[in-house]
Amino acid sequence: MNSLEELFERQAEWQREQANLPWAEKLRLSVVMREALLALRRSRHNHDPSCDSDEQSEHPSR
Amino acid sequence: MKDVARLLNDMLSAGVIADYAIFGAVAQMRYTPTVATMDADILVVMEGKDTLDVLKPIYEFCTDRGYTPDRETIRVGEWPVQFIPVFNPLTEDAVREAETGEIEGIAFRVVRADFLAAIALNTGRPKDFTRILALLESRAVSSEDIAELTRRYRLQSEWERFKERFLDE
Repeated sequence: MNSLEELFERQAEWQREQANLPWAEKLRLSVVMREALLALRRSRHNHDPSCDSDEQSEHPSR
Repeated sequence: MKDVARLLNDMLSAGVIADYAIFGAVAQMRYTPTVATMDADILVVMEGKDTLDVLKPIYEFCTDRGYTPDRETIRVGEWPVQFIPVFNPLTEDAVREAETGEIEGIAFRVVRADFLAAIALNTGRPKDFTRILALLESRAVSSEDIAELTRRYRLQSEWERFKERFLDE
């Protein structure tokens, strides 16, 4: 197995482990991701106040 | 999310809603790796469908318990929660056939993986297509499961387009 294949294999293993985490743990991680995303958007907004918020809800259009 | 589950179960017991099930990204994460999402989306079945403000009893119930509205959501702990009344036969059946999951010991009604995929297909935004692919990748659902639901809800042409575009079938 060459180094690139090893890298892909490690990545796939990491993804499998992530998918197997308990649901509650994934939801906690999701909150952390959301806060990081919102902080990034606020920072971008501070640098360019003219940019529109692109925050989206998950719900489908009816 | 435990507080959200508890609130929904209380709402159900009090007769404010006839049924509910969580869907969208929060439900998806039962099966797939973590994804970022802005809110928790709840499909609700209401008894008094013909009133103008169908969600009013939910908002009143939440406000009485100290949860405050925040734009189109209600903030419950760390989660903005969006209540969406069922709006077609697909979403009605998604709630009726939902599973009972568990969040930190609290029962929580969750839309099944095949219905999550069918609703995503029906909605059809890029992130919905990503959801279908993630559910397939995690083996929470098979192409055959999705095809079965697309026949039931007349989404065959959307499913054919999706397969052609993303699954190379």
